[in-house]
Amino acid sequence: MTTPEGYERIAALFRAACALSVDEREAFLSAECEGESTVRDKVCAMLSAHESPAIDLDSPVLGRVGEPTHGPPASRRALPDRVGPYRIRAVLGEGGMGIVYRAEQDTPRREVALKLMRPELLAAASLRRFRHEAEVLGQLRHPAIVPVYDSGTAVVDGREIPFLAMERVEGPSLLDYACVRTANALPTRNRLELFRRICDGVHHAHVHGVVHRDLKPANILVTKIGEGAQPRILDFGIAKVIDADAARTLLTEGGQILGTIPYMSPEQLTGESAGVDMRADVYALGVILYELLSGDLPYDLREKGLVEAVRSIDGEDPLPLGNRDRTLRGDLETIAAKALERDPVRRYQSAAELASDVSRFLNDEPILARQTTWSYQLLKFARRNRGLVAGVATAFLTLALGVVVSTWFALGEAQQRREAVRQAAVAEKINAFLNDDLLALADPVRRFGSDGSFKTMLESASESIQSRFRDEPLVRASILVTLGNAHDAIGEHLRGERQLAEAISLYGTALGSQHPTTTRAALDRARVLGNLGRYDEAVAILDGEAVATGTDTTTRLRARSDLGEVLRYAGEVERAQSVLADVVARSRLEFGADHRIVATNERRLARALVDRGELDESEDLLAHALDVYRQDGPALHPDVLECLHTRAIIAEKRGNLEQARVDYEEALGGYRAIFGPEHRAVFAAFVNLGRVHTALGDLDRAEELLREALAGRAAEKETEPAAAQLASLYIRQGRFDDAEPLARTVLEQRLERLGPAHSKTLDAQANLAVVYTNREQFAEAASLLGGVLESYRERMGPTYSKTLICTYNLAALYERQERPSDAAPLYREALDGWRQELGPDHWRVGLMLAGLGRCLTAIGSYEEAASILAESERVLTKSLGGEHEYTSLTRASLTELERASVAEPHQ
Amino acid sequence: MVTFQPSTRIVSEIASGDRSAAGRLMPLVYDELRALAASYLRRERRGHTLQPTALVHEAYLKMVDQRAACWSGRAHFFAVAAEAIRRILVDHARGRGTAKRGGGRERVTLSGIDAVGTDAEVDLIVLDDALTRLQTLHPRQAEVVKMRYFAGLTGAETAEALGVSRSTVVDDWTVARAWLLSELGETGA
Repeated sequence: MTTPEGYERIAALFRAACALSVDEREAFLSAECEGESTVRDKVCAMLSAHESPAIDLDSPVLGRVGEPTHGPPASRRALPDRVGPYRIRAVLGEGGMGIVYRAEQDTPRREVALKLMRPELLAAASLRRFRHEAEVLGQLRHPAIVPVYDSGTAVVDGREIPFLAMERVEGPSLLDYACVRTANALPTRNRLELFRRICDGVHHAHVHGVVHRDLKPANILVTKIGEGAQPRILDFGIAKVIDADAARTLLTEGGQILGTIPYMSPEQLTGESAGVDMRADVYALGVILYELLSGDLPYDLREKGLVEAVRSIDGEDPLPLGNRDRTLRGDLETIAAKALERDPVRRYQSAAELASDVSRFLNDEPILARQTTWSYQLLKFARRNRGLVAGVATAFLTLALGVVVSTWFALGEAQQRREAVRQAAVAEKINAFLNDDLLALADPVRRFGSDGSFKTMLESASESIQSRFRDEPLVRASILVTLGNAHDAIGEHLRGERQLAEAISLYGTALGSQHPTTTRAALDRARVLGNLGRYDEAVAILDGEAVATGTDTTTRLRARSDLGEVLRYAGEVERAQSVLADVVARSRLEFGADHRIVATNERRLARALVDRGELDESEDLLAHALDVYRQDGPALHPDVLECLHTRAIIAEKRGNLEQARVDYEEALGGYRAIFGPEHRAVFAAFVNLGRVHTALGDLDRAEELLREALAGRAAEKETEPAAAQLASLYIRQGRFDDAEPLARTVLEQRLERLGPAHSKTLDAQANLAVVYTNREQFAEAASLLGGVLESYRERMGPTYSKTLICTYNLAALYERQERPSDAAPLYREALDGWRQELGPDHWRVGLMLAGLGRCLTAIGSYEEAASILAESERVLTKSLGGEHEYTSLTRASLTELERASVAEPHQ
Repeated sequence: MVTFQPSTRIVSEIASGDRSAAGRLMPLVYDELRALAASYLRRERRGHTLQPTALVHEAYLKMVDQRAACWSGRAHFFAVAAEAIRRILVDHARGRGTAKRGGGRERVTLSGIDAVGTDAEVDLIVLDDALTRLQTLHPRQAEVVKMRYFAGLTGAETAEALGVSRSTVVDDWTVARAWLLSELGETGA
């Protein structure tokens, strides 16, 4: 019986002997084991077993992983004669999913590739699903997708077996065609072109709701078409109809999963099948791109077991492409890395996005994936400068992208080189300008921290651009676009508009008015025009031809979304709703339901629906948008707060003021935390809270909030929303002396910011006129109101509600000035308008009748006055009741009329 | 709130030093592996072999929540799985043996599998006896054999599961293999 010590000695001798040559072992063991023949014999037996093992213990007892151990290949089995309407000719291939035959069809007469699925792969109840899916697949028509002609089930060997009949495609597989790392490798440019076409095909399927789920080079064949090469993707959507568990077992056991794993996204590998969407295909495309460029897989999975492989893919970053091959550093490396992001949210959100970055690379345009770096830096900057609006950071991003000034396609090779050099120079200058002139000012050491400092920064940048880049129109234009957007973001709309207009004219001269870059700047300007209240101009641009024909899908969708928003501002809520509903639907198709862009469009639609009174639907959309935002980013984000804000408006509309108050408070807290106490969003939340408190009847608290808001922004000359609220609060309380300076401030700020034609400027004039009237500053009031009325009539027509209110106000003013003959026609006009708009029995109609009756009394037209006042009493009693203040006033007027007509009976 | 499968929890417990937890994990793993093997068998494809590594990996992916389990948890799981596979196979071999001898105790689980050794059939029962002896002489080497031969783990995986270096695994394997083979030879076929 051996002991552990004895075993250890035997093991030591065995090790030592192993290191020796066979000849030396004899002598060694004789010397070491003198008198211990058992030990010696055991070591010798071990040595001989070591040299020539009688039994293979190195192969695990049940076989070894990674060796496909299928039964006899189909080629060696008897061919079925027929499957359904197809005559089987030969075996084309055999894979984990089934066998593919070359087969002939009679009508129409053609050769097809017939795929018989392994029946055990179909989940129990999924034959019906298989048929449904196959039908969908049959509808995919794209040059890069091998079309499915027919599908069904056929009985083979007594079993019902599903089949797919596809076009028979001949050609090498993608990697064979590309010959990566060989002497006759396909040039990188051609490989990228091929890849872009693959992305196009995948995107086409995605738009039709089909996700491949098993993209890999072996599933992509390349066929020659004339001079060009066309990739053809096989097996679309098949992965969806098979039973995932069965497939995994089968693939695992067959060793095939090791060939599929490298192309599976982390979310597929970790089994979060609920989370698998088209972005899994984007991941697979990333792997294919990586392999197509470098010849290697992003993760070295050789010698790794399944779990270890999963761990690598789910837990490590892939080796950067540039580390495989130095020539792949830079943009290609960035593109591949973005496609291979572990978190689907950080990947390209669609195959189309990936394709367009590859196109940009091929055209030597800056790729969008670079945005990540940019936005990261800018976000850091924004965090240092808490007052910086997130939108401003976005504006700077546009600068990085604004460098796209290529007219590449039309240029010859020599020109292309020059263009490339010029572009590089442009980009460099812009960066230098950003860093030296703009961002340098934001250095925390210099204590620029507040929103105001950012404005200072923009100010100085705007000044310095006046004298710079005079002979570099494209650089100048790019910077102007950025500055314009930044000004817009901080509320300096007019200034922003001017800068964008200049940029557009520079681009137009240098690149042509139809150039995508020019169009993009025009779209920016349209948004600013919307903010300025110049809706017609904004709509004309956003709805224009250039957008429809000259831009990519993403830009187009953004333009539609902005159009919806502008229409809502303009009060065309119904049209806004239909535009935004369409944008939501299309962006869902384009980006997938849970994309941030979709969420933003939903948020905008929700806001429009609020105006349409469809509060339930609005709430649902908001809930989804909030989900997306919260999954995707921090809980405290302007987008999130925007949703809360809209939710608060819904609550306010529903009369649920307490809930509104809570939501507004939450938004206020959020804005404060993100932007600091002095930001305009905080200010806006104050104003809203003030309004709710006003509505709740807590006027003291409302006044307090609004005063606080005003104090916070006193230095910024941006106090008008709070001032307007407070002014109307004071007007409501009859405190016209307190209201007067506020109403004047509002008007001044709107004139400066929005210009004299903006409807909000007109409103401010109208309100100030009311204050003047009540303070008996009649001359000022009359001159203001006259102008406002003129503008409203002209722009909105005579029956527009504000036109009518102003008409009434002016009439009332004349009446107070004891000018009844001036007032009477205005009352008549307002009366006709309201009747037309609201019907004959509305209290407003009654009010106009009362005024007209009073004026007619004053003029001495007693007869008409009597019938008018009688009608007024009828209408007001009907609409407001006999006890209402207005009704009593009319009764008083009737008494007055009686007295007057008695006093002057002959008139 | 996320609720993990019991196996995930047990794996964490083993990882945090609770030795008795391995005993609780064993029946779960044993059942899972048996079920996997059985579902495999139902597919009845002749000539296919059952691959232990695939079984262990699959059992692990199925039984243990990937995001909750730590690395060392995985190692412990593999160790338990290696032992479970050994038991399943030896039980199976014994069952077949008794059937041959007319014992009549049917083993549903693995009946019908032809365990494939390349050159010669390994007498699993004899091997297991030798392995049991090795367990008393050099427990770690016995573990290495279970993991490599029964669970089909790679050298690297074995090293990790046992918390030793790869070279130790190579050395252990070389010595243990030679010793086991010599033991099998001694016993005589």
